[in-house]
Amino acid sequence: MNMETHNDLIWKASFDRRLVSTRGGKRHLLIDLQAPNVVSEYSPKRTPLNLALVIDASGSMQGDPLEAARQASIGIVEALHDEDHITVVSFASDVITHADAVLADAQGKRTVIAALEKLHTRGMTNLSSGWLRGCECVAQQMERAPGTQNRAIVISDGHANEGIVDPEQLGLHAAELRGRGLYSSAVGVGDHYNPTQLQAIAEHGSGRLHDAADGQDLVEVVLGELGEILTTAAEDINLTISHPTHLPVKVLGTYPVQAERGQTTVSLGTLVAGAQRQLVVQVDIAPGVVGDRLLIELTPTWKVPGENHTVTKPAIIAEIVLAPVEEVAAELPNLEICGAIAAMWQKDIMFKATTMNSEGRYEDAQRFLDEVLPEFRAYVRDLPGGRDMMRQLRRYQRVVTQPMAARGLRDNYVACRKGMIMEEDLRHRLRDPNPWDEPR
Amino acid sequence: MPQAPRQLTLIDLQNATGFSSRQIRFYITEGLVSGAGERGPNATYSEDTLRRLQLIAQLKEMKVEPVGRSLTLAEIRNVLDTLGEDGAEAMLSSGAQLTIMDTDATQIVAPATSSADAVVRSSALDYVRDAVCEEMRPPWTSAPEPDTASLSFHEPVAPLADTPTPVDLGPLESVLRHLHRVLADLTSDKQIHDSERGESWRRVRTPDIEIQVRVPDDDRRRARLEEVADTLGKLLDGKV
Repeated sequence: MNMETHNDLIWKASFDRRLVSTRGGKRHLLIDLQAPNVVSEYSPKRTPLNLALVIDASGSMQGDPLEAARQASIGIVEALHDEDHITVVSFASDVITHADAVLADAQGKRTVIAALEKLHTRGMTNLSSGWLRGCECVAQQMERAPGTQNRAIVISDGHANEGIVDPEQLGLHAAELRGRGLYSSAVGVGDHYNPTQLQAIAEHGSGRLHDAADGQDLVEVVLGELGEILTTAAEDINLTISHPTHLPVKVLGTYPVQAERGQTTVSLGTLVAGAQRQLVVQVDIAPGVVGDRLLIELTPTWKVPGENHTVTKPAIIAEIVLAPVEEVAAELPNLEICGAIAAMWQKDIMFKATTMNSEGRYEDAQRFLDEVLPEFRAYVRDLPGGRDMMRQLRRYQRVVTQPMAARGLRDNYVACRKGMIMEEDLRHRLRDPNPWDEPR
Repeated sequence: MPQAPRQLTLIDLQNATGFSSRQIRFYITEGLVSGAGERGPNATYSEDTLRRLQLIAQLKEMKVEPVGRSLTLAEIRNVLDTLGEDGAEAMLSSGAQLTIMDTDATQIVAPATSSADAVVRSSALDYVRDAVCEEMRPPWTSAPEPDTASLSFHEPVAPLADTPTPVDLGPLESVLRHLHRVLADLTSDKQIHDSERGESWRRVRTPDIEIQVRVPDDDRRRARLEEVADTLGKLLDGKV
């Protein structure tokens, strides 16, 4: 196991097995990341916040959702410090800037809360215009006063149907803004929002995607998101994996990945204090000769909240050695590492199947599971808990290959995704926390 | 009598460069440095290998501005392939900086003290304002995407008999025709799906002009774009 400690941000990288047969085969690399428990080790004083709340005010938000968004926003405004700045934008077919980077002192808070009272529903859903306007206000304030934590939180219950609607384009903008120190999170409200659009903004924007079934959830998760922003230990975390060009690697999970010849960069987003994240990389090894060594170099980088520079530390290296078949068979696997890899792999399978289900591709989900489950079964067969994992997958296979109720689908989507990235669900009263659990 | 070239062990390489044996083996596997003549504990390496490793060590120390991260392996390979060892040494001793363009392609720029045109990533505000401007244009709506280049020029149609003779634009017209041809060439390959042709927004800057265009990402088109920028620059300066 290779381990490096960087300012208490701990990285570990371990292959499930060190040896591979000369006939080639598949190996899994588990990368474990642990943020420090105490944010103050990075910044003794809280970094001022430069925050935009971007609220969907389209017709479907009328009533309880908009009222909940208003209450959540007021809660956030009241929790801000005097040196913070707050922007409030609402979007429908048009965009209204209710507050443009207002200083959150007592007078500023009164002004913003009064503006929030004027929120009203109207028209269609031009999410991109609202989000970009919120980002513009934050970016202007970044130029006036650098050294802040810069964040936009988008709250929406719908499918964007005006402006930029392509998740890829939304993700591209979010990634560009992330590269410039402006991060985005998103909260999906109700049973019918488009998770791919909001997920693109949150994942490429190095933020989080939350799900809120109703008004009460919405208030909880938006205030919870504020808490997470304030306890962020590292942001814009990237892992560059340099590998021999003839050694294809595949990253499990939904992390944005940029691959080029011999190098794969994974964007791992933001980590709050004490949080853990795991990443599994599948490596496909071609046949070779005994003694061949395959080395993978892992270089982590991240930013400290409120500081513009990127922290880069020396690379850590993981190694696989080609050996005779009998030597490989005699090698005992590290059960703890294999178990963690299997757990991540299982969630990856469920998430992919759920995504196909959400797009109405039930037959694709069936085909995908038929293809991947034998390989997964072979991997977990001798692992403690492996049979349970297979049973859960078989049970979920019956559910995910046919239409699901909208709320059940959302819950499953969020549970699989959050499980995969080890992110906490900020809702206190989860209906069905894990779709793979036994029915109660 | 000329001295025989010095032969170095893996430990010599480690001591001289600070790299671990694993890292050195990794660079050998990746083809960044040449390996030992023979395998095993008696393996020896040449001074060329040492020089190359020392260059890699120095390149790894460099920071890519403005983000302040270290060079990736692919970028190190790129520098060594592009400049060669002598060129890389010269660059390191000149104090040159490595700068990221918007496209995330890393490029070497001259030392900050002697260069006024260091390419920097635009600010978040500039970026978001550009994005807002883009959003106002058709590509982001459901309308089909235009073919990339925001410059357009229509071939003049033959004048009708009773219409006034068009003003002879002289060299200007030939320049515009040339630009039209170059742009048509840049935006060809329409039948290829976007994801297959690896398109990206590319920004070309000269002291007087900046062009943003979405084209397939290859060397030939990059060269053509630079040609467009140069021609437009000359046009603006009245040199054609």
